[in-house]
Amino acid sequence: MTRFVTWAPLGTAAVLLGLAASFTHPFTGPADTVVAVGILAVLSIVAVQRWQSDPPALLARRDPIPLAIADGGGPGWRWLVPAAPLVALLGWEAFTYASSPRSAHPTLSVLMDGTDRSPFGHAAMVAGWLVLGWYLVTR
Amino acid sequence: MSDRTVTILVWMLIGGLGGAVLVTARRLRTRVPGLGDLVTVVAGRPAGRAVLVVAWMRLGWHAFAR
Repeated sequence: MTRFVTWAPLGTAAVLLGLAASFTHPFTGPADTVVAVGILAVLSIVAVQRWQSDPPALLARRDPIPLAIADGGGPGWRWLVPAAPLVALLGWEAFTYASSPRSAHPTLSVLMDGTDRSPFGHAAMVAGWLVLGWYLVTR
Repeated sequence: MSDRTVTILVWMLIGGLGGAVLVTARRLRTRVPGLGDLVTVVAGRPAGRAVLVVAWMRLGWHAFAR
């Protein structure tokens, strides 16, 4: 229950911004505004962390990673494990972006356009983007 | 098999690889770093944190605004 209460503000904010975004279309002022609000919300978390010595748990940076992982508790190549999918993703995105025609070599954003076309899909993607921003600044 | 099918299959493979890393890192918590650990290490440096946040901002701008 406590965990739910802690997560409720983040979930509510993400859903509300996602719903607002579902009424917008790219290349319009409202779409710019929704994205700007999301960016400002995440940057304000960084500001709270910087200027408050004891920020709320939801906005605070999380505990450091276990020492066994962070402090050379094993060979350095272990970091290739989490890096591999990221490198593969960036590499394949670059390859598909440079290839043509686009329909034969769809980039990740082209694949996501299908989801993005429905209002519900668009709202879910904006909410996910907002949660990703929160995740990145609280690590 | 068409180029489009191959491209989409590779995307699915990369997604599967990411999922496998998440599961493996969770199961072997103290031995294998996960994606979250990598993000934490990068975000632990001011420059790395700035790069992550700017990349996230760029992603949102590209996907939803421009």
